[in-house]
Amino acid sequence: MSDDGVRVRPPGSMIWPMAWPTCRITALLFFAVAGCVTVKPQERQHLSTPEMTPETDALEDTFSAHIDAARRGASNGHGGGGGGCGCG
Amino acid sequence: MTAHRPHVRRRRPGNARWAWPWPLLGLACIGALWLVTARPALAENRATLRGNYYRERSTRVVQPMAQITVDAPDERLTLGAMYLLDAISSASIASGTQAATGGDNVFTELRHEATASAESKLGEWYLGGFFRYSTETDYLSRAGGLSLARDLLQRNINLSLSYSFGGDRWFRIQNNTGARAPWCGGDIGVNECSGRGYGRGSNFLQVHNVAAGYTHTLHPTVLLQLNVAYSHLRGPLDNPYREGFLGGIEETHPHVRDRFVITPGVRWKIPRARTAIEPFYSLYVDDWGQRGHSPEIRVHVRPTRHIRLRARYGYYTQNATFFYRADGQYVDGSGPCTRALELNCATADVKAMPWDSHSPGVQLTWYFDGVAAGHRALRWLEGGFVEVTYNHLFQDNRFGNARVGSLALSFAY
Repeated sequence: MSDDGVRVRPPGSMIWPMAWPTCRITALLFFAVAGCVTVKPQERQHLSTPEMTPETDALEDTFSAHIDAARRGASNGHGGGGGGCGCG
Repeated sequence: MTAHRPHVRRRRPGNARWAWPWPLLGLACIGALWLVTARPALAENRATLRGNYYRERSTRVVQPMAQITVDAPDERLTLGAMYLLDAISSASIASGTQAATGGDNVFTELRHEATASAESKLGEWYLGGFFRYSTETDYLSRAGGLSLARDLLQRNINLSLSYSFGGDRWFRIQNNTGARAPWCGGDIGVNECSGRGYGRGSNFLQVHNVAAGYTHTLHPTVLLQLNVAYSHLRGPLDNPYREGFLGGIEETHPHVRDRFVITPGVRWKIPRARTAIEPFYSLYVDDWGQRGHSPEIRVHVRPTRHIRLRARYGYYTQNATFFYRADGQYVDGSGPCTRALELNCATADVKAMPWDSHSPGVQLTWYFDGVAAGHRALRWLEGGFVEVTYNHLFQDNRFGNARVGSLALSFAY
């Protein structure tokens, strides 16, 4: 708190004020929509196709994440770290 | 004052049974669990070759890679290995390295990356671990991680949690001599920078990454996904080669960064239309004041049983970091770059600037199952596929537009 009573955001704390409302809204929406529907194993044939399986794009996403990490500031790809500087 | 006797730890007689090697006991438990778990019907080994290509005005990346996974003997233990080579060619100073090395020649740098992984599916539990080693002329990276996931409610919910740690060493190729010197950030002189240890004054970048995932099957054709990731980076985070852009001032960024990403998404299959729709959105925030939004939609269509077409469109936008100055006028500060000492910061990094991009793309995948079923001599192709991908990036930054392509060939054996 500053001298004039205005709440001062400490340096380095920019993430949580931004992220928490979004997190809470997203989580509420997800759990509201999710409900308690149970899909039986014999009903899963559509879910087992490659287009419905997140692992299908794993290798493509690895390359995309590496490219994004070299170009985009707001990207958390490739484990969050940086690559070399030749492409930076 | 009592005499100081040397302390010798003695094991009590008959106490030897407590001296169990606990790591071995843990391994024995995992082994026993592994043995009693029901054996799945199928095991699949897979080999994948992939060539990636990235081309923009100043930079070209050619990346061949090979990946092999082996079920030993089935999905209770899957071992994987991957090797990739990054051949990065830069034709202009805009790509960075020539600012330090001088000269107008095309600069090509090679990066080698090897990854070893192990995964295990034990009933409703999934365990995984990996180690990755990556090296290039001026960068060395080691990373390892563990992941844990569990299916719940008859596989209608999957929860996952992962942690990885990366330890990177930064170097700078010295002007004209080609010698390699540790790089600790623009605010630390070359003579004060050490290639050993960690903390300020060291070229060590540590990256802690925690991610959690939630997948929910809402309907036999609808899948809901939510992923969140948090990264903490500590160490040099600025490019050693951009002083040419800054009138001789070294690029100087803060040494700490906290990044947060949340990605909700849906996969919805429409069987009658042989179509699946996959919209998702990523929100990124960090403590450098940067935000990013990247909505994307992918539409998969099956014109025939063994052919899959995918069209995608992605939009990306980011704002500037707190220390970016649109006028490019920086002073040569002499201390660390922080929010309180913003004048010490300097950047010519596109990653710190505001820009956006549009990226449409197409993909064609041909599954070999049909061919394998029709010809006895080609039965070995069963489970294999070839995949061709092309994406075009319309980028509103100094690198300009980019073309991204890949060709993948995968076989089950």
